[in-house]
Amino acid sequence: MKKLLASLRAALGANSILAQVGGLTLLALALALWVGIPARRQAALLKAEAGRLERIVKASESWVAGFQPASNEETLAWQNTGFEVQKLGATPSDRLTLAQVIARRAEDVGFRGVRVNFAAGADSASQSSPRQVGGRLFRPAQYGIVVEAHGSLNQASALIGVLPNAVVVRSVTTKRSGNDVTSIFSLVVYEPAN
Amino acid sequence: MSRNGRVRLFGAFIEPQGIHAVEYAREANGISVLRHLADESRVSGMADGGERLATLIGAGDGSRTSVSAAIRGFGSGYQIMMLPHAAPDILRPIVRRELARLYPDIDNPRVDFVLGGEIDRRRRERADAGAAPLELLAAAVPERAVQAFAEELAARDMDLDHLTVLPQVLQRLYQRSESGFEPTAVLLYLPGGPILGFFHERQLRLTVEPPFGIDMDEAAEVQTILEQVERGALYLRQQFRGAEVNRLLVSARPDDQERIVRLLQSQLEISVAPLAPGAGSPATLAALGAVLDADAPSSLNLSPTAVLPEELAAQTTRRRGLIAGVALASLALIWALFNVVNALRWSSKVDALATQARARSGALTSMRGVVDERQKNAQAYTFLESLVADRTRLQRNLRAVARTTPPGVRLEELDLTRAGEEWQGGVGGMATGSSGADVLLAVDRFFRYLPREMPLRNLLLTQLEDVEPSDKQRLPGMRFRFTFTAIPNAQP
Repeated sequence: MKKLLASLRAALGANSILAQVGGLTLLALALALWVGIPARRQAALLKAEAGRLERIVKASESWVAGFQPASNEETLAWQNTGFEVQKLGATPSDRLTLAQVIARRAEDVGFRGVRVNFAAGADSASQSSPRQVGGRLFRPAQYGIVVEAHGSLNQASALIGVLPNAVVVRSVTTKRSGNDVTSIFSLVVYEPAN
Repeated sequence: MSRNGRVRLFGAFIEPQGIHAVEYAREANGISVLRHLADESRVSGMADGGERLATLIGAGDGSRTSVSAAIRGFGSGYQIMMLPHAAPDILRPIVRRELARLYPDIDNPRVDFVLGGEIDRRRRERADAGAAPLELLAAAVPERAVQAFAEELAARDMDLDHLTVLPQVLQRLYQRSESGFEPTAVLLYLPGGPILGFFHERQLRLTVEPPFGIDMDEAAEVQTILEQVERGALYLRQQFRGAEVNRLLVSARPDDQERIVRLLQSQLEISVAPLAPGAGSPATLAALGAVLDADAPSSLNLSPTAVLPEELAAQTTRRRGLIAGVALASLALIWALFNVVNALRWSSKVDALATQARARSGALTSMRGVVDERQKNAQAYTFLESLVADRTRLQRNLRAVARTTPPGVRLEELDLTRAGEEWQGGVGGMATGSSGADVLLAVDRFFRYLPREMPLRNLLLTQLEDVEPSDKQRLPGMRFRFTFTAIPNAQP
């Protein structure tokens, strides 16, 4: 080992300039690697980030170019839709009004002997899913409405078409007794959650 | 570098007994001697020799002064040696080691050598017998002494371009004067003592410097020379397969030349002739021999200004190493710089794009409200449409039951209960007809027509039973019940 070190020392002494050049070269290489490799990695990250930002800018440019501002008609349509959405639920205080409207519409389609009752709706509430519409939430109410009336199947079909949007038909049952046909509609009522 | 572009050329021979120099000029067919210079007082050392040679040459008129010199003594040494056939780079360390062994007193020797050629004393019968060994003339001088010599000259703006030893001078003089191949002896009767060189096939094979005492008379000197000639001849005969020395070329002082030639001729059985007659004294010939060696393509040069092949190789290695190192370091640094610049460039680009994106984002914020409203409205509209569609499906199912009820069938009950998007249904009724077959036909029609009008699955007849005819009509009748699942759309 000593001999090896001595010969190494002798070789370095004989080629001191080359040793110095080699040392400086190694130093320069180390410096270059120390600076270059992180810079290369950073450049790769920045390049990817630039690509992402370019895509965002391009997408936003094309989006802006294709964007059409809302017209008056569109704004009006939004309002109308908003009103319709409001009608998708009836507040508890409106339950009588709702029942009255349903009874009136049943009579209007030709039903006779219309009777509207409130029923415990826990069952239907658990079976029906809430409505999430236009940023508003409507939950099934804890009560339901049962409509019993006398009339034909066509009248039953007509009544279904004019029921308020705050209710959903859960079941329809018709029974004949002699010449009289009785229809029973079980309705789920929705009320706004907020 | 000369101030006027001219170069003064000098050849010199320095030995402890004095200094002899010639100024010469180059001509088309050789050189012409312009003047002879001599300082025959004793020289104490190389530094002294350099100083006195410079004084002898004298200051120039701004011209560069180039000096080619031959030395004898002053610690110098030389050896004709035989080594295996090899490249000079390989031979050089061997020669250096051999000279160091032969001249251990030379401190830090400066060594050079010239290759003489192959010597093949054996009869080689096999083609693969190997290459013949090389004969070479090697010389060494103390580095410090020649440095001092050159520095003394340099102090007077003179360049020691060439420094050689006396045997090499003999070689050049012989080559210049003779073209024959016959074995020849050459005698230079120098002031410091004679030197004998023996040539075979135009190569110097042996040098002898006979030891002359101060008290020796001319007869004793001649006798000594004769003995040395005989010994040299014997050496050549032994070493070169019976080569016989048959000539002796002599250079002595011009006044004594003819007499010495006659004297030697009378004692020897070989031809004795003057060497370069009319060229001047032996010392002048030695100085010119140094010039001839300086001009030769392969010379023996011990001047410290001369770049020795090993130094040249070392310089080349150093230069290559330096170039490679600088190139490698430069490439690495350029690569690193490129990456840094690239990173900075991408960084500035990212900054610019981020600024641009932020500016776009501000413009988009106002539009986002419209977009959100449109999305909300579209969702609400879709929901309302689905609500209508749901009711329409239920209406369609009710109407379908009413429409498909065939004659002879009276609906007694109908129930539809929501099950997600489907409806679980049940239809019950009474079928009557003129015969039992008619009754069954009515039930069957109802059973078959119902799927045509209403998309459904799992249509099952769950009840079919006879009903006692009433007393009045006495018609057969059957009570039936179907169950089914009404689906939103017809399945393929």
